[in-house]
Formats: sequence, structure tokens, C-alpha cells
Amino acid sequence: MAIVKNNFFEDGDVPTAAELNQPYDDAATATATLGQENVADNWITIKHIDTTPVGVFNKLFSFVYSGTSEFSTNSTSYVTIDSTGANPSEVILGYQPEQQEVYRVECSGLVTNINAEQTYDSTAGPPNGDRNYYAFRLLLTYDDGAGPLTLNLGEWGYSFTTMAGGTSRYWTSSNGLPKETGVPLGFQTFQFSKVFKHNGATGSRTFTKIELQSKVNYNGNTLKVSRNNIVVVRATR
Amino acid sequence: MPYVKPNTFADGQTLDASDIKGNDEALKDYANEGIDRGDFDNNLMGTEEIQLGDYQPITNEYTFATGIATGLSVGRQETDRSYWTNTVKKQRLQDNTLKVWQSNYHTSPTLILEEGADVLITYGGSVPSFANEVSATGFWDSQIKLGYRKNSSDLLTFVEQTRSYAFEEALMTSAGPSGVKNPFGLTGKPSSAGDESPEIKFGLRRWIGWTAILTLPAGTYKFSYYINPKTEEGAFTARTFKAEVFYN
Repeated sequence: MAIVKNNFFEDGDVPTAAELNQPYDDAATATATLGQENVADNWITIKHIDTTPVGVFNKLFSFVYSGTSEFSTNSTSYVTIDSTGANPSEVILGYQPEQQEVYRVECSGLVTNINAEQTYDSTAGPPNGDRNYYAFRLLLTYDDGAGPLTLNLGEWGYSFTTMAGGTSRYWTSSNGLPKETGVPLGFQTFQFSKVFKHNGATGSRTFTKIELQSKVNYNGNTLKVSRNNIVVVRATR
Repeated sequence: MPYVKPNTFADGQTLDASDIKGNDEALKDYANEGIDRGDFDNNLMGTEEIQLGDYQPITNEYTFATGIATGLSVGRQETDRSYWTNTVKKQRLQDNTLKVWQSNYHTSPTLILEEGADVLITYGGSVPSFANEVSATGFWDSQIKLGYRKNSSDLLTFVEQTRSYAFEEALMTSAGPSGVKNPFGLTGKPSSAGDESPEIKFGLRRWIGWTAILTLPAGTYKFSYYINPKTEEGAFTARTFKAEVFYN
């Protein structure tokens, strides 16, 4: 838009109607499309940012369970953590992302009173194998219009004990004398994060939710988790 | 909506002062909070229009129009640790309701939230503790969590979603725990390990990490990571600490 101008009159001038109207008409035209010529440097502060209906620059989605109830599993396939039985660890998203949007997901929690009966720590087959390990993953559920689909955002592995290596190492509470044992790691925090980008077209996909899941490598070992949380930072444009 | 002049002048018209005044009054009203979002052109803003970010080198804090970010990453230097020595009687170290909270100064930003905001705090560090002179027969669990005060006179508000534990290198002459928490699982310590075995110590010295998500109203907040030490002396550190503010 243009900058509003003014007319200068000398004593004794008889202004025309056009001259009198001009500054007001210019103001009417200019104020319909205020542009860079009309605003000062550094004028935008947090006070000027409209926060409705969603955050302008970033939007956070989160799940927080801060209680002491324990989720317990000995499943060798991934199951969603649910510390109270009615409050699964998931972040509800429920929106369509724009193309090239970037997301950050952070997750943390507390592993509590584990029970590891066998902690073989090698790739050799049963009865050995990688029985010392358990893992978490973040699972995105989305919909492209034909029903829910899932995307594994990442997996993070931990061990029940500090031991490493060997084909005969184990620690046991019920299968005889332990030997070459490692130290069990109860009351251990876990923490991981992931950055991902939506490469599809804007509006082509609906993000439904992100779940925190866990599994163990051997069903004789039990993993327990109490407090846990997930946060998704959506960097909007 | 844009400015609209109430009076239009015509050639030959006798100039009326109130007509000019009316047009000027309307312009004044428009300039005084009459501008709305529809009046702004597309692609209005250049980066020079947005408030410049501010960096506070003393507190290592960045303040932007859109939020605040602060943090640190330190090595394992002993000078970076927060040390404590208890001033209570030895027997009280076994008290699980002990209200002694030691702050880690590396994790103590003061965040001034001009608007309601989501605050994301990420921590990673370790908590080595030193020998307790009390002849403990279990695993003294020192509780660790994030806390904050909204006003300086408030009591600490603890953030339970960051609840963590560190354990003392105690004499472990018994498999049963004497503290509330047992780091060795349901069955106590591994029976092949001696009380002072290196693997016991290794198992006790853990990395502690968490992310906290808080939704807070506008105000001034003093954060810190706190430990409720059950040992006579010890130390903890923040290898990484980051606080981010997302105005919502």
C-alpha cells in the first residue's frame, strides 16, 4: 500500500474538493492493506500473537502419568503401556498435517521393580538368546482414508542387568545357582526422543495418536513401568 | 475494517469545520485500536518486524517473541557437581519422610512467562553418592525430582512425572531392602556379588533422565532439580539440562 500524503495550502488558496478529500481517501485505501511501509521495526512481541484457535508457532500434545501404579508385562510382542488399566499411554493428535511439517516426540518414564529370571546375553539360540533385554517403541497411528494404519517411529532397547557378553551368563531367582551375574537394574529411568517429518501432501493424512509400547525378549522376565510421559511438539508454519 | 471517511467534500460547497473534524475524528478512532487483522496485507511481515531475540549470558537464557529456551551441557568435572552434607542425626538418614531437599544449581532457571505457556524441561545426569557412615543393611534410596516455586514465598511444588531414585553404596549384608525402594528387583541383590563388589557399585551409579511437560499460567517460576539425600555426603550433577517455553 501507499503512504498517506497531505496537501499544503498557502494563505488565500481556495482548495478544491479533490484536494480536501485526498488525504482521507488515501487513508481509506491504505488502511485496507496495511503493509511493511506502515509498521515499525520489532513491533511484534508475544503480546501481539493471536493464540486462537491453536498456538501459532508450535503446538504441544502430551500424555502424562505421574502416579505410582505399575504396568507389568512379560509379553514378547509390543503392548501399549497402561499403568492404571484405564489410562493407556498415548497422545491423541487428531489433525491433518501439512506437507513437510516436522515433529519432535520426547518420552520418558521409570522402570520399577523388575523381575528377571533369565538374562542370557548372546545371540545363540534357546535356552540362551538375548533374554536380558526389553524394549520400548513409539507407534504412530494414522489414516489415509481407508482405515487406520501404523508407523513405527523408533525402538529403544534396555537390559535387565548390567551384564554383557557370554553364552552362559545368567542371573536367576528360581533356576538354580546364579553365576557370572550382572546387577539387576530396577528403578531405572528411560528417556528417548525422535524427530520425523510428514512428506505427504497437505490434508492427505490424518494423524490419530502416538502410543508408548513395551515388550520383553523372554516371557519369563517381567518388566514394570510406573510414571511415564510423552510429548509431541508440532512445529506449525 | 479499513478507515472510512464520514464526509465527502464537493466543489463549491461551503467548507464546514465539523466536516473536517468528523473526518479527522474517524481517522483518530481508526488509529486508536481500530485496526484489525483484515486490514493487513498478505506477506506483511519481514523478519525485521519481529522482536529480536534476547540472550542473557549470565543465565544462558534465550528469550524470543515465541518463547524461551535455556539449558546447559557440562562434562563430568567435579566442579560442576552439587555437593551436600547432611546436618541431621545419622539415624534420621533412614527416615523416608525426611524433608531435606538439595538443589542442583545447574538446573535452576527463573522463567518469566508473559503468557500462559507449555514448559518442556529435559534433564540428564548422574548421582554418585559417597559412603554413608551409618551401617546400613540395605539400599538407601535418595529420591530425586523436579520442583519449582511460583513465588519466592511459596513452598516447593514437586513434579511427580520426574520422580527418580539414586542409591547409596551401602554395606549390603542383607538381600532385603532397608529403604523403601530396592534397585535390585524383586529378589534382592544377586547372591554372587559381594557387598563391595565393583559390579554392585556400577549398578548403583545410574544415568537418570526425564522430560517434564508442564502447562503453567503467566507468572515467574524458579525451577530446580532436587534430591532428598539419604546419605551423609554426596553429589549430583546435570550433564544436560534444557528448559523450553512454548506460548500457547
